[in-house]
Amino acid sequence: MGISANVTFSQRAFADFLKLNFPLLSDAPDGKTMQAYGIYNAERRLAQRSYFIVDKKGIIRYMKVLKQGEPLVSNDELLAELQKLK
Amino acid sequence: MSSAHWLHPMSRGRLLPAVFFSLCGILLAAPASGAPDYKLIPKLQESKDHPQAPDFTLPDPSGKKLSLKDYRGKVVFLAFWATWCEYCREEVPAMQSLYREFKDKGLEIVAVNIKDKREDALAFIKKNKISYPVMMDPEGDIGSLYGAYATPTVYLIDRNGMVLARMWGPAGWYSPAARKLIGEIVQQK
Repeated sequence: MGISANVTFSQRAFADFLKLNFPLLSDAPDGKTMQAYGIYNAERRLAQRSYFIVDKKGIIRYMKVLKQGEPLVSNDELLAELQKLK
Repeated sequence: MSSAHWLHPMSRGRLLPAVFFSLCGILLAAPASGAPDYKLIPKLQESKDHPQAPDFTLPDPSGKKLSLKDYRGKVVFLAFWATWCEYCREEVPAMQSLYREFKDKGLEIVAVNIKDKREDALAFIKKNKISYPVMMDPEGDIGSLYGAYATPTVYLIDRNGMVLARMWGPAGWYSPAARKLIGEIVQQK
């Protein structure tokens, strides 16, 4: 699932435009979830681009918070991390 | 001259029943209860649950603040465009024609200029004598809110501010099909 500070109206447009097959969740207006994960940029009211893999017990097994301008994590790397949970 | 002057006199007796049944067929094929047929415009996405269009306020080219809610009570054709977008430039004459035809029937075209150079937008508006309201969104904030990831992006919004349909990309907005659809929408109470 994807989470951002955008309102649901925008989330739906984004999901429709990209024909996403996974849910997008809105953390507007206060960014409580993003704050809980430590990735909330309060000044710009948006999330730092980040990835979390949470196992079936709710334990975070992988976490990557990107710095400004840092390239996205590849799907191959994410899939490799998921494989480790098997 | 009769209204059927384009028919050969010998054909009228045989054609009229055919015309009658053809009209019946068209009426039967039309959506029930006079609901607009959004499929008239290819790739136009009908909104299933008609969410409220988020309100916003932006300046027009003269600096006067305009809000989407100012147009409540009218059908709003909300278009996101830019001068750097070729399709957007090409659509302007059709939108102007659409506006002329339906303005007095309850249609308002609101064009949000996104991520553009102000001088380019102003020159384009003046050169093309755009008569519908234009709002300036240089940072593209409202464009992002509405998911204008491709330009042009058009939202059709009903008189109560609910989203009826959305379109990413160009369309023939003064085609017979588009005029029929807009006509159906403005007729709705």
